[in-house]
Amino acid sequence: MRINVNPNRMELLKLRRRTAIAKRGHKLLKDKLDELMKRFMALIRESGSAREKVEAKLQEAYTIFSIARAEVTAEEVEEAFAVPSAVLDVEVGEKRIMGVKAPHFEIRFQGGYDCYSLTTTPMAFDAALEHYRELLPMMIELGEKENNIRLLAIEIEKTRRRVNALEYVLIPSLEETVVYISMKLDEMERSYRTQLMKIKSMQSAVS
Amino acid sequence: MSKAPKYHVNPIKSGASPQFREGRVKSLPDFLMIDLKRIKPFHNAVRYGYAVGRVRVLETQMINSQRVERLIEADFENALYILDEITMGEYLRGASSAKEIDRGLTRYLRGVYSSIAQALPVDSMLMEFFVCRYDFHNLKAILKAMMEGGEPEGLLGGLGAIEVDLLRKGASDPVALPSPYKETVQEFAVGVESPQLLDTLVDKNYLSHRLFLARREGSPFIIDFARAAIDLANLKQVLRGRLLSKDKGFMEESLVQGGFVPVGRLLDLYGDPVEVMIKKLESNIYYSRLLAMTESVDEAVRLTDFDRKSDDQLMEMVSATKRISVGAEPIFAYLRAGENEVLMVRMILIAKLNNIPPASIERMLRTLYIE
Repeated sequence: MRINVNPNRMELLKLRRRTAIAKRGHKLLKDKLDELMKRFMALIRESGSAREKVEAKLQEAYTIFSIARAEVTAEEVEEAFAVPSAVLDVEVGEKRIMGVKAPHFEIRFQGGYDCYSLTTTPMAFDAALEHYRELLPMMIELGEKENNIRLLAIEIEKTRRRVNALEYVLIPSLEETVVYISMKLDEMERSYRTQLMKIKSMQSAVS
Repeated sequence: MSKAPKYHVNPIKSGASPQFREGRVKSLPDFLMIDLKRIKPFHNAVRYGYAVGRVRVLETQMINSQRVERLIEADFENALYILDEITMGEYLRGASSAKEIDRGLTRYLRGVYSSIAQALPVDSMLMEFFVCRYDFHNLKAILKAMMEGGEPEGLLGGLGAIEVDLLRKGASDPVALPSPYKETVQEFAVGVESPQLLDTLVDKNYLSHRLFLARREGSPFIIDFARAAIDLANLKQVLRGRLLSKDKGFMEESLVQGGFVPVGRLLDLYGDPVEVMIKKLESNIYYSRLLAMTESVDEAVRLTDFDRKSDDQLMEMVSATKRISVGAEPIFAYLRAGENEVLMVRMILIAKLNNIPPASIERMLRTLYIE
């Protein structure tokens, strides 16, 4: 679609400059899109394998915990963990992936699971808790990765829309307008020339 | 190598065995060797006659190995149908979650306890021997809730002999409580800082109280059982302590006196490799058997097997009372078997709810009292 501008040389120069900038921006955005896609695919691969690991470990932990749980009543389980002694510190920071702000979590455990009886609780509790202790950082990391994927997907969509807008709307319309102005200017020039020639022929006829 | 009992007598020496009388039999088989100290006046045993009669009838309603096999193979719904064939089924009808299973089994166990309690002599300590576990649990739950500054709802079991309100009152005013709960709260008040130290304190008092009750009951078998339970609890603590890197000081605080293996000996061995512990404790057959099992490479086997083997060890002791026709022992065995039965059913049903395969369920199950 042509831009509605006055067809003069000034506009033509302005539009040519804008076209050049748009093309350069398009190239840069396209490069950014490629890089974002590359990072996106790598993150998907990473999070896929991390999810598999977490799910396998989670299943193992649940199985061990189910076995332990079956040996005691619900009240005994609740009582065993009524006063948790381990403290988990989560520090939320920020990191940038290709200009995208993403949250970053750092976790720290303080203390052990010294809150239940070693006599009356099943021994499988120890292993189940050890599994959960290993699982928690893995799950947080997985959550971080999956959130990064979501943020990158949003950024990719935004960038692709920009690239497409430049490629299929702005640059073609600028180029069309440039062509239009050039043609209009050429036509105007031809018209002046014709007028001049006509005037000149009329003058020579009078003289 | 087993030692010969210090005191023994041949009950048929006075004439029943002509071979022995004529000197043709040099020594007696083990089952005829009886510890003199363990012979009790018959009138003591007869006091339990009515209760033993009831127990013999109730034993026919217990789960046997065929029924367990059917339960393992069945799905959850069918397992409930199978249980409907025995008394326990009534209590589990319509259960669909782990909490409902627990609730049903608690009601069943309460029924078992009350039916036996009615038949026991008034001065018998047997019921308290079994039920004090729940009172100690409730007391521990209340004290933990106090530590956390919350309410103990959801932590309390429904099988204790002491009213929860009394325990709650006693947590702030221990004089209101009977012994040894009073002493437990008093010790707690002196300064127990971590929840695990509270656990240690309550468990120690619980196991010691059971030994005290066993001594009051006067049955050598029940005393042995209580001592073996202390041994197994101590062993479990030592093994878990090693795995969780607990220091020796913690072990000194938590090991319970009164078992067959002196606490000092266990403390001396704490820190030694398992092979050394096995060697040094080989005179205690169940100790070395359990210790050897904890070295299994398969983690699942190691973790579930310790508790299973120690329960089986106690059940083996209990099964030995089958030959006793009258006395506190058959009742004790029935109550212990009832607890074991409830544990088995809970394990099977909860495992079914959690889609644990039959092979794993089988590995978790304990030895049955009724074959």
